[in-house]
Amino acid sequence: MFVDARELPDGHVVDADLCIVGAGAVGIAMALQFDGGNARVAVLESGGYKLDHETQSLYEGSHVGRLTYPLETNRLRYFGGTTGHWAGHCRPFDAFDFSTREWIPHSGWPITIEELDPYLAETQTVLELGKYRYDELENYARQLKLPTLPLDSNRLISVMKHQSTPTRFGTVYRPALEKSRNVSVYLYSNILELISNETASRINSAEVACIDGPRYKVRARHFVLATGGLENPRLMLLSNRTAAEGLGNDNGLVGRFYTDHLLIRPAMDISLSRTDLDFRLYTDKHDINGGLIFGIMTPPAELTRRERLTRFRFHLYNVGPRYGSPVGGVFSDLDGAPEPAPLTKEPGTYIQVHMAMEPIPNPDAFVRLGDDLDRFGQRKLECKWLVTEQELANARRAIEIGALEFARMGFGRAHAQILDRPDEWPDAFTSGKHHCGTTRMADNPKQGVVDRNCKVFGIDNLFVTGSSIFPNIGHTNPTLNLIALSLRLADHIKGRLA
Amino acid sequence: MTGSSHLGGRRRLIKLSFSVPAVCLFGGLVPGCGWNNPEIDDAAERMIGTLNYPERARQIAEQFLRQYPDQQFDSYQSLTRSLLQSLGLDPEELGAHTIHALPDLLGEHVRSDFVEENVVTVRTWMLSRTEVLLCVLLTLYL
Repeated sequence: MFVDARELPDGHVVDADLCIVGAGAVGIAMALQFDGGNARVAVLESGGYKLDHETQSLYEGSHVGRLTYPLETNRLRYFGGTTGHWAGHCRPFDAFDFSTREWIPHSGWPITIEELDPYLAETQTVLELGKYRYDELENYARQLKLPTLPLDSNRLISVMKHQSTPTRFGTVYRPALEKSRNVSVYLYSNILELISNETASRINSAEVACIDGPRYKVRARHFVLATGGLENPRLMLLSNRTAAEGLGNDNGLVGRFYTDHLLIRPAMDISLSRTDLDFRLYTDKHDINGGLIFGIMTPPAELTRRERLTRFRFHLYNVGPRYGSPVGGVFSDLDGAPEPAPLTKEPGTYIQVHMAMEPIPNPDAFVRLGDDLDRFGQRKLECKWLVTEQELANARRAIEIGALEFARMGFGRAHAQILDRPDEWPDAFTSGKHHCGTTRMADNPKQGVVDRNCKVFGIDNLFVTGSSIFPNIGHTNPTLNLIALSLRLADHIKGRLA
Repeated sequence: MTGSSHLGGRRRLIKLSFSVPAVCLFGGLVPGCGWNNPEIDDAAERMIGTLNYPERARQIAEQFLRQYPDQQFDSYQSLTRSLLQSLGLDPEELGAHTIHALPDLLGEHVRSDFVEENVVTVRTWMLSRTEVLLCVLLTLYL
């Protein structure tokens, strides 16, 4: 059921077995795991059913460094969270993403893909993605009668992504939660602080406030933070009544290792040397097996090991030409084309390549509490996202590999700013706005904030889930993976509640 | 997804032959238009015939030479010889059959450039060294 917390009496106390903070993709997916059970679940959501400016402004913060986008614009603070505007691209991590790679400092998860596997098929359903099949691109291509690219598998391989509709959690899952008798969603509920015992080893309650409304308290046996890669650490840092540096922050790691995908969009434009190419498997979404799929390109694990790179992916976009005088047509004959590609600006003379690259975990990047205060008097965030020379070199090499491969296939020639100015990030460089790593998972508290069960080190009943626990983020989009991790956490908590 | 015809190249070759300065067609005395080794001329024509849009190819060559001033080429004959040698051919032992096969050999060589990363960046474009030299050859020849 849903509760409008603005109508609660001031000083009200909610008692629950489990308190989930945040009703975005993760919070809702977790809450649904408890629906119909015996556990009393309280889900705290800052917003209502629709966006409102006052609530959204609670996301305000600042950047230290190169990023400038407003923090209150890319995340959505209402029931359903950021799924209200997500793109819906999905692909699970693979075994290599979890591995420790000696050429990448701070790499490796304490868990393996096998521990996530049992939850991926269900996650696929949660995200309305059709059958869980990520190794069927060749088969699907045959069914669709579309060609895959003849890539050199030592350099790049084609893999598949699923495209969610994209699922708007606030719309799709509201009816189920309205009917629930044991899961209560408290709207307009802004959690201000977690209150612990005297040794900060157990959370007793959460202090909650409504904008211009009552304040109340939630007492629970277990608490789960599911407010995203920025707000999860913020709440832990704000909860400093007992632990002066914030909860779970004995080693100063809460908010450290702030990371995000490195995006270059476009990374390169391919001036095509032939007009008989068919990229639709990659540029279009295809309805098959009850879901939408499309192809992307990524390097095999062996190449990243050989060249000491992080992982990356290429998306293809069939866009109109942005430049005159393409060079591809000059070399059409050398590429064996039946006729020269046109020199003029015509549709089909270019294919655009976007790149997303895995960053290197960096302890010097952080989110922390700044000096500015929000309307509740809570300190806003300062975010410092860092990119390094090594990451620039990785990006440059990745683009070179893509450019080489398109030309080797005889498809065209690549134009990329980074080829000309290798010591500069291109104008099209940005972050993925996938905030990750700020409460990273590790096997010991010197290296991370949560353990393999997503429990905060040193605190018996506080769990964190979402992208903030990712120690490495691979090249793929986080949503499917963070939901799968949350379903796994739900199982773990069920075991503790039993 | 690929074809193997070089009809476009042959079409271009005809166009190119009309655009060669008249003095070259009649002369044997003009530097760079040597008549004493007609097979080299044939090979040069056959090779630059693989390029479409000669004006664009010339721009690529000019940009390449501006960016890489250490790259010096004496004449189209010497560059032709150099390119032939890079294909594993003896410039002094060219027959009609070999000259006819040059477009396919060059296509393969360009692909191997992209495998072996024998490439140059010309004003943000990644090009094979062989194809850039073909552009230079065209510029020298015309």
